[in-house]
Amino acid sequence: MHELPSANLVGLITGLPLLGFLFHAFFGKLIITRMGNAVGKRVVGGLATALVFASFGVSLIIFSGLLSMEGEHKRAFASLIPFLSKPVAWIDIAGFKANFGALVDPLSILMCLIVTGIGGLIHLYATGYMAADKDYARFFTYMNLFIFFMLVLVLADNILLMFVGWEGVGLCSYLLISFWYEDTENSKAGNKAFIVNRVGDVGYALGIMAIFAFFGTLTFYTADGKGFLDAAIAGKAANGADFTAEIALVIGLLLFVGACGKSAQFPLHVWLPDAMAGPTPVSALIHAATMVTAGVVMLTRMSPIIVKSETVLLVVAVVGLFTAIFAATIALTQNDIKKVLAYSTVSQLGYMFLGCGAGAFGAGMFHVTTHAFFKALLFLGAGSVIHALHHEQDMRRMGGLSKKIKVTYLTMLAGWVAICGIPPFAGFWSKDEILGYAAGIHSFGMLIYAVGLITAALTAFYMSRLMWKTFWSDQRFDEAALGAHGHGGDSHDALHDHGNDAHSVHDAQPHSSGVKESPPSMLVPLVILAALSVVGGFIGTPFNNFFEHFLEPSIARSEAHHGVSFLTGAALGTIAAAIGIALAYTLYAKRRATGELLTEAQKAGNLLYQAPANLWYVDRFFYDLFVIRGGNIAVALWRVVDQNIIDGLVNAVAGITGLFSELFRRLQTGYIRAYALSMLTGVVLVVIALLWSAMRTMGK
Amino acid sequence: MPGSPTIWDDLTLILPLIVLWITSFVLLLGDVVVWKKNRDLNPILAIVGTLIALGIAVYQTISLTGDKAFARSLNMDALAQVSMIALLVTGLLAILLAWTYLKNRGLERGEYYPLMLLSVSGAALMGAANDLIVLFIGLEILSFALYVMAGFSRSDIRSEEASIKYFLLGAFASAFLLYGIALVYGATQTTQLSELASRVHSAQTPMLVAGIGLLIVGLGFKAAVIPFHQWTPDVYEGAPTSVTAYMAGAAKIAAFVAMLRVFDSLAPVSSVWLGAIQALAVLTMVFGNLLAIAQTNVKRMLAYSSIAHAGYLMVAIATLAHRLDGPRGAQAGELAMTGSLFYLFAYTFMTLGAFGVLIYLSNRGKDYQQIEDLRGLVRHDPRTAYAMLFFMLSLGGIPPTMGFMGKWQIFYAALSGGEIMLAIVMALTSVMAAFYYLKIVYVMCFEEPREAAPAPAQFSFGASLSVLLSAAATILFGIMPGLLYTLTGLVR
Repeated sequence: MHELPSANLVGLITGLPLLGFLFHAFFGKLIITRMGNAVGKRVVGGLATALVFASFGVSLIIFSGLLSMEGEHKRAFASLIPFLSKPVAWIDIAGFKANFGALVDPLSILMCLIVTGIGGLIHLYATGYMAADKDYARFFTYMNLFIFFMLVLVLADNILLMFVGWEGVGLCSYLLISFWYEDTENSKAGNKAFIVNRVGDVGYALGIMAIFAFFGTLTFYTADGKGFLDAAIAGKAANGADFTAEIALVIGLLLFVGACGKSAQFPLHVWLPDAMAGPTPVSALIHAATMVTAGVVMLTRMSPIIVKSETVLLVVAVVGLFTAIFAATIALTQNDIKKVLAYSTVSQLGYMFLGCGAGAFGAGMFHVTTHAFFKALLFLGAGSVIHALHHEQDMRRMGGLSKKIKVTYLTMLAGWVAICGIPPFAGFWSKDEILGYAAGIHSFGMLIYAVGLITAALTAFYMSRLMWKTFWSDQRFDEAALGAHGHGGDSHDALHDHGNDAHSVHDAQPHSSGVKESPPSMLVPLVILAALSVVGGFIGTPFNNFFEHFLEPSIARSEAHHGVSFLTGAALGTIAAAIGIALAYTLYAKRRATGELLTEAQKAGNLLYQAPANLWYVDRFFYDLFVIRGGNIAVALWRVVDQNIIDGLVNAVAGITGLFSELFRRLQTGYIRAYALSMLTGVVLVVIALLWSAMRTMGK
Repeated sequence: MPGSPTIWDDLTLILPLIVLWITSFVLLLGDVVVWKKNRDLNPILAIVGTLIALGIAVYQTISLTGDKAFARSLNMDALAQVSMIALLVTGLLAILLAWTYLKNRGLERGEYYPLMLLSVSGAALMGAANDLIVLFIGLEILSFALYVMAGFSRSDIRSEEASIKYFLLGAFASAFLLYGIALVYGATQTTQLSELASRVHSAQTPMLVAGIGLLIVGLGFKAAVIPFHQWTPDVYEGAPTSVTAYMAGAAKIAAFVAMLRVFDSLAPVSSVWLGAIQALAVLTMVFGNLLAIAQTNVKRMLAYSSIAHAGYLMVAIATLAHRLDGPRGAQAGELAMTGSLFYLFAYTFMTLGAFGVLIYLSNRGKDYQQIEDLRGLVRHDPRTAYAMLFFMLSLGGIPPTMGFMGKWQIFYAALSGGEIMLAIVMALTSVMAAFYYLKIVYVMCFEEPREAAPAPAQFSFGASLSVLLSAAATILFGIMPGLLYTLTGLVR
């Protein structure tokens, strides 16, 4: 079969979450008020979750259809409107055309499966996690909207529509980070994310314009080979000109700036850790598993352009590598459990970029996939810990939880072995694949490889540190006091109800019950994700690499090759992980009681600790430069230029306009004879004007 | 088609119009003789009739033949079909708006809906005319019905005044139009538009030139182009709001589709009329927007806004003049054509929507007409306020609404056709327009309500549905204009 079976269903993948968004936006709150807190919330949360899972089901159907397709391309063009099989025009004006259409190929369908599959699990988790929140309906409204935009991003058949999805997920990210907007800190975190992303988006937007300038179209591929990626593969730009490495350099670097913003690469990484102010399911879904990988997805989609320029590849690889080790050092020093995971995410994203930079886009996407499994798991597990400890996020006040919340502990353990890169768990295969290709980069390959290995060791260390502080060390909190003192003071991620009328599921259970395991709605996703983290890597082993073979049609061929043999790489990778874990073991096992390596005095005097703990002063530098100094310039402009000069001009123009308006208004007397007279004047003038211009043209 | 077309082929082509005529006579007779007191049956049957006509029109558009009917006096091409669809949609929305509005005011007399359906058919005839005489007949069918409808509230002196003003000035304008047709015939020996196109170039006599001038006047009056506009605010304000809403949409569509046809066939002598059209466009854009600023009555404000929009559409007509100036001009002309149709769709949705909001609010017992009446609307009726917000943004041409997409197309056409000056005036006057549209938004959203809790709006199915449909269209076609291009793009 060369046609995609049931192509008319593709629109349902995006349509179902959109339906959920519209339904919850208009009726969600009404349902909860009418049906009561308990039943209403179950209906709203259940529907939101069911729609995402339904979308997953449709994605599976399309996936199996894609597998059955013959031919080397495995590419189909479908409509994003349900039950239409042909895409309809979205904009079509004077040669500028963009479809509201879907490009169904291995890359897009893989992302659909991740987004809807993991997204569905996280929705399910959230029905339990958010149960006591007064804005329950609003939460699921945003979550469904996020899924919709993310799917538009990955399915779009042109880069403009992809940009719509790109901005849409940015909007949802902003809305969900500042979900508990009553706390100013959360609103500030949302603003920071939104503003830093703007920097990247400028690059992306310029990249789109550059593509249009060079290729004359914004569509990726078309059936008759007229898309700009078709052209890039054929080596032809618009009007038959050659597609040169210089063009690829311009477009590639601009798009890379966009990818850096969304995927939190240095120096635009500063927003992601702050984004943890949002509810934990949001951190898991948006800021770990899906949205932040959009940059990798975009670079992979653009791979025919990227591979054309050696420079772009090297820049991507170096920035990725630097981000990986840079963020890993910060993760070593954080005490907030979600902050550790956030910096870990930044670091892992760096690995993915390293993979792309090595030309191994398939390996990068493989890490996107396994990372989605284990990082979602780790975040949800952290959420479960926070839940158990009544909103405590500081690891200094945890410890000894391995016996108290068994299921959470065991699933977290699975996530830990996966991210550390211990064979045969998921993270091992993808990280090993990336590092293998990184070693093959023709300049500095071995140096890059070495730094990558050090980062792997650091990863193993900070994750073991997290496990020690949370689960293995001695208990460092007073269980009896838990919940009794009400709500934690400075905790951002507050599970408590923010309203006065929300006394539902959680408040029905007594508040002061000490450490409590989470409800099944939260544990089921944990168990499933744990299973995926354990076995998920087997889809892409070097012995039978189904994954990269499947993705091949979506990715440009590059010169990427392994710089080390599989066995050497696997051995070195495992050794690096083992060193990290062993080091953590020897250091922390001796300090079971406190769970601290250094005393406060030692920390204060140690520059090697202070620098990463202060985020290498990057955030402070940006704050000083842009917020304080830039703010001063803005205030000066406002006071002097805007208030005096511009406002004065505007007010003067508006005043004069209003004066004229009043003046001419008098002409509207209400008398028919006056109207008829003015019409007659008009007639005379029009006829005279016509005769005059006719005489002029005839005279010529 | 084998052989010459029979009368049946001709009748099939105007089947939607025949359905409208039959429906209006059934309604007229039925209201007097058969069901007498059951007043709800009138709008329901009118809706059914309009829907049937719409269905046929859509079917005929899909299987477009582009035939000419009745001895080449009607040109059932894409322009005719698409404008007919626009008019039927306008009629449908207007019937829904009138339903409760008339009932609450004791105005639900049987002749309202037949008059409206007949005027729709007249407007559709104008859009399909291939002959200046047919165009004139269509115009008169449309206008006569509108004169009567404007004075429908017989006990209200303002309504009476509106009707008589509209009638007198309309008759005045019709005379000019008819005289213009006569002069054009005198100069070219034909009234058929398709013939005209091939003859005008060799017949550039003063008679033809004067004739074209009078055509501009006659059509400009219906389209509310300055200085033939002065009836507009008085009639818009005085007529019952349901009539104003309908009139605003239908008359604008009919007048501009007719203009597109006439000036399309006059393109060979564009050097004669381009200057006048440009001047009228500038006048209309500048003064329409300028005068709208000073209004305190929403209906009057929307009247001036309708004049301003006529100015933007005149820019498209001016761009049409370049249709024969090489490939770039041809593309611009094509774009002006499709863009105007898109704009007319947008205009009808957002204007009927805005009037619909007034009608919906008037179901509280008192007429909502003044800008003051909308103060703090968002507090006690947020949904209606949001709908109004979208209509105002769309009228002001702010994305992501349909009004923006329409304005952008005309703007782009003007630029690529070389009408740089007009494009600049269009952009500048749009800034002025933002002032009075956003003033309504400001009053609704940021001012305190005058009364704490006004009487709750009596639920009106028709008005709610009409406003909802208009709002949905305004947003949907603003975000996904491609859906409507499949229709408007046929007119190439």
